[in-house]
Amino acid sequence: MTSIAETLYHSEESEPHSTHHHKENFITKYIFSQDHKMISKQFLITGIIMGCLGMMMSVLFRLQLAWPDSSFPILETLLGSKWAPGGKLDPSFYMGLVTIHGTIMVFFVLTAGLSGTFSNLLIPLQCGARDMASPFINMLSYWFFFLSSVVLTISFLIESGPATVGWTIYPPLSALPKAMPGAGLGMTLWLVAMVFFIVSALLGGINYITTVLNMRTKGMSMNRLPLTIWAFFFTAVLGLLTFPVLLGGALLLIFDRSFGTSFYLSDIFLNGEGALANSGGSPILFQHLFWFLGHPEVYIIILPALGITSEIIAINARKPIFGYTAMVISITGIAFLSFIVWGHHMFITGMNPLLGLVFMIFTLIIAVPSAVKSFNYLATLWRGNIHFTPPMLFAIGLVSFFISGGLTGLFLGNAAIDIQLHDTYFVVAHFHIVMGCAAIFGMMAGIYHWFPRMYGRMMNNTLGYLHFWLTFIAAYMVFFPMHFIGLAGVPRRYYQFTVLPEFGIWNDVNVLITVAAIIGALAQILFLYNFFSSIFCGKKSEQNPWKSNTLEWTAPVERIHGNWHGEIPQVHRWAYDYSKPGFEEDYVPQTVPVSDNEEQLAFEHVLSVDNAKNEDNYTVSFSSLMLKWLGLKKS
Amino acid sequence: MMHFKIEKVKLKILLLALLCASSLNIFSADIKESITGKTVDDATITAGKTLFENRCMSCHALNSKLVGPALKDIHKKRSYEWLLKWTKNNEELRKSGDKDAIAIFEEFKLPMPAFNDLKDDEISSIIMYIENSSVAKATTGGKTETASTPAPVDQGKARNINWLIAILFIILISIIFLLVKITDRITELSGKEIIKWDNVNAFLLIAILTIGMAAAFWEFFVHGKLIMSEAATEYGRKTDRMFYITLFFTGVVFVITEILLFWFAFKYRKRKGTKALHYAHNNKLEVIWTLIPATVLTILVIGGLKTWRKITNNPEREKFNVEIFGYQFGWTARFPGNDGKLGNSNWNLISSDNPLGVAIKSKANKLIPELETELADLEKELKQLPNKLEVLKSELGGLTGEDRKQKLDKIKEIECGIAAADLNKKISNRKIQIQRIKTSLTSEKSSEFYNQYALDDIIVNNEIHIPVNQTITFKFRGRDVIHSAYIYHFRTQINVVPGLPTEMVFKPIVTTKEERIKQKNPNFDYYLICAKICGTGHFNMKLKIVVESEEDYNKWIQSQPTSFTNIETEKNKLNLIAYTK
Repeated sequence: MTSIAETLYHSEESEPHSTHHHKENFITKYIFSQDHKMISKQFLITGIIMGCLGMMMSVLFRLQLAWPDSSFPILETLLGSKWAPGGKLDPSFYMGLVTIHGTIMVFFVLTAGLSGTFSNLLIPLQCGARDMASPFINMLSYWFFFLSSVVLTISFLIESGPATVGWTIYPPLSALPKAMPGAGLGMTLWLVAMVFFIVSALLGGINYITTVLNMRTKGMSMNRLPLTIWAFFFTAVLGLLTFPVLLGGALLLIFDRSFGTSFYLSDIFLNGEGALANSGGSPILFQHLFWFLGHPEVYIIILPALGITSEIIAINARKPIFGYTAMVISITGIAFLSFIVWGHHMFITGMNPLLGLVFMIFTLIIAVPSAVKSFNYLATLWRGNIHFTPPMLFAIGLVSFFISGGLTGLFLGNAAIDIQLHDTYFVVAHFHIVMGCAAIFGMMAGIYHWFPRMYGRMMNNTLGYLHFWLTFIAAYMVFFPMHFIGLAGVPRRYYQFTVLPEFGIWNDVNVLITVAAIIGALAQILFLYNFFSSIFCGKKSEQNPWKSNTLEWTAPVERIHGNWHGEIPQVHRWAYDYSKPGFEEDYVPQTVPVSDNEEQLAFEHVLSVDNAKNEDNYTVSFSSLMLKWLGLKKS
Repeated sequence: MMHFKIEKVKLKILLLALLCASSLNIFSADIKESITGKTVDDATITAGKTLFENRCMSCHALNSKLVGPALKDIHKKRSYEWLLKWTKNNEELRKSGDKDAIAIFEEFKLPMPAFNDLKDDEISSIIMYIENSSVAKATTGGKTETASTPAPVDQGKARNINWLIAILFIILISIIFLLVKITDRITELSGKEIIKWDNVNAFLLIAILTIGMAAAFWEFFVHGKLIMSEAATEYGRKTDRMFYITLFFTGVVFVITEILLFWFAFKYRKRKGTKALHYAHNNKLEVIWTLIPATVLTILVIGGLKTWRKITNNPEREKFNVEIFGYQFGWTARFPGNDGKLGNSNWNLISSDNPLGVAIKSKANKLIPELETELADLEKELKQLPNKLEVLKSELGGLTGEDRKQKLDKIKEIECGIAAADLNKKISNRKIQIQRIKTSLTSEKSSEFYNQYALDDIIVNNEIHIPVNQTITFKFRGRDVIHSAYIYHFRTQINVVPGLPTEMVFKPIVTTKEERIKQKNPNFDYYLICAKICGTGHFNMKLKIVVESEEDYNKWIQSQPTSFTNIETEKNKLNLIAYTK
């Protein structure tokens, strides 16, 4: 059997790559580029810009929460007298900030910015492919994302302001333009942006899956893939299966808003009049559709970060990742279970309590593979030879956040306890730590680690260290105290804590959180400076600066179309032969052939179709690989 | 009790000492006369304050614009009669062509609910409270009405401090950049690291671990004391136990894993000449740490399942029903009255006269002609749209700025057909609504729907009372968007979904009085608040709940007027029908 990758490989062999370079002008090289490395940079920089926007919004509403009685004249200067009359945020605009902050961070930064960047960069490079399966679709994927970012940002420029109904856009609030100022045109733009975003995610996802399955180089059977690729692969699968559901949900919402249908609406009396011609719709239906994406979305965010961390921890501890098969099985388990836990966002919506039972069981089960992953990280660190590079510190930070935030998930996943904690600050603390901070730290680790691969230069380490420590401490100072605010029963999305006198005791905690948030935000200036200045005047990178095993470091430092001069290197071993006895160096790149007397791990052997140790016939189905690892099938 | 009294005295002294007159419960009048023409006295102002907090505060503040305009100095802008009319039924006032009323609606877009349950006296007491506060504000200066924290902030000073902090931060960051550049440069030139980052990072990891753990424990002892006062309901106690069990397990895991993480990172930091251990897997170990979390989680799941089942499957539900109706932005309760049964309701019957849409035949009959007049008005408006357009266009000349823009917007609306589409939609909705009401009145099930249970129902707006030690079911109904009814001290929460009735079953076991002693706070009260984003006034929706002995509750409920007793004729008719049958 000949795989597609091989055909490609052979066809390119007959025609030496360097000779058929397309003529690249500025536009095809930097703007409408089809090269996966350039597209990944585009994703990254758009993601960083959106991230800065989202972060600035959070600082604005944190100011309001910390000092609800003071005014900041500068806000009126910056935002105008409509949104910040007298230097104090307008309550609807506060809601707008909260909504757009959530949307930007969840979708634009942590989905597109994280998985878009690194899937694009690493899938072809680590699998050993010249480019993505369809470079053109890949380019479209970025430009739809760009369009979507523009539409969302533009919603700040319209008169009624951006969407203000929360990033979860629950109807009827989001379906009735008259329910709130930001439920009008701002909401329409939000939905349009989201439709473009989903198109982008789907186009990207289908490309990633195809490339991983079909375009791996010679010898790169699935069991030799670095864990990053496994993570990106499942991320793409999750996105591909769940984003269409959100698209459906959003389309029905658009119908309800604009064409008079009532999928999500019933019994509405608004603004002094009955607002509906129909009855019988269900607002809960939207929540089911939304969270059917929404929960896997959490894993779409965290899986790439975990994949990046696995790679970086192994490289910097100079040790093989502990329990490679367990890691892959955990990712598979998480990916599978993430489809059947969405109901834990809806325990108290009034859905059948029996459903609550089922969702509670699955939700707590999903903690098991997550726990296995954390323990495996600890075991990888154990007796390592740990190099504290900036990416390594961020990876350690990720593990810390993943543990802290994951544990509070056990409270929220338990329906009985969730009754009291639902929609309080406890939830805010939980998801910011486990998917906000952890994923951002994964992204930062990835940026510091693969920056030399992207730009051929190194980032400044000293600034990196400062950036890490300030961000790490600030993040814990922001989100740890929020647990207590939530446990005291303060609901989220409150403009000020004045509804009950008891809430007044949290005023000084709010000040602490805001000060920490501002420090954290300022620390990002170090990063931004470091990132952008290093692009142009960082120290030139070596071929393999981190002494890593994976294929991307065998490609030339300068950006070339097609990734490798001449042949694509062949892979002979898994990606984690660090500190292997019998070798002088503490790393053995995947391209080094196995010597005759060298011991190999049982699962490291190439899995061939005919069970022979024939490296040309390496393609094996994913299902048979899983069966084998779970001991259900003998090789 | 003694302790309680002392605390109360202490608190008062404290508050007085802080000169925080506006947050005291008893008011001293700062005004001599009122536009209401009524005599100014402290009791009226205090009553006005309570009413303001219960009925107005979810949408209005004194000093700042929230959902509606700021109410400070409202007495200088409007006459007393106008305010009375506006508060009772602003829709009517707008329809009568009052320019001020229309202008307010144009500015804020969201109409204010009709408060026709408020009596003239009550409205005048609210106005008096606003008058008084407007004056009090002027004398004490710059303090908002909602600030219960007695720390008057000097705005100018705060502003300067803000700027100072900003400048300091900028200087700090510049210094950091400079230092980094200098160290890097020296490192480059001398070829030796000035700061041994490997060591610095390793020691920082341990330092942060120690400080972080200490801070976490400190948080538990300082903030932990502020949270989770003992639950005041039976099921609340059960969920609290589940919470503490989970906290125990997660706490242990948190401490162990975080310590291991930072300790390993510190202990196995890079050393010259050492090589890491090539140790790729150990199946036994992996099985062990899959099974341990699995076991712990099984324990938690079983506990959670049992508790959840008990809460959602209460055999005593429906024993004592109270309906709570959620809307933007407030809550209204309906008690079943003497017959112990709530009457039916339907959103099609909602009107300013019947805000909950309770099924009362005479009200429904009255609503039809009202809707028909509205329908005729709307149709007239639709017909006159072209005329209106011409009028608007002719008025356009000579206008500038905001006014011109508003007029232009209106012209655009008519020209694009948005206005017509809007009116058409309203017309068709009205027609459907009228049809639905007519069907409900004439269909076979009419007498079943408009039954007598509704006639003695009691609608309560300000605060509700419930008896202690009884299983109570709150039945929730919403009319506009999703709200979430959240009573923290009862540990209960359920969403209020339009079109989907939900309920909350609980048994309060601590009365408000007992809880006040427990909390050492004489002003403590249970409140139902909103936890699901529902619009601009989301952060201000509350309903006071008083838990008291059955005796006190009975006294209270007897003192509440039934809401539909003046519809005697209908009651008689129903009785007559029952008699003849």
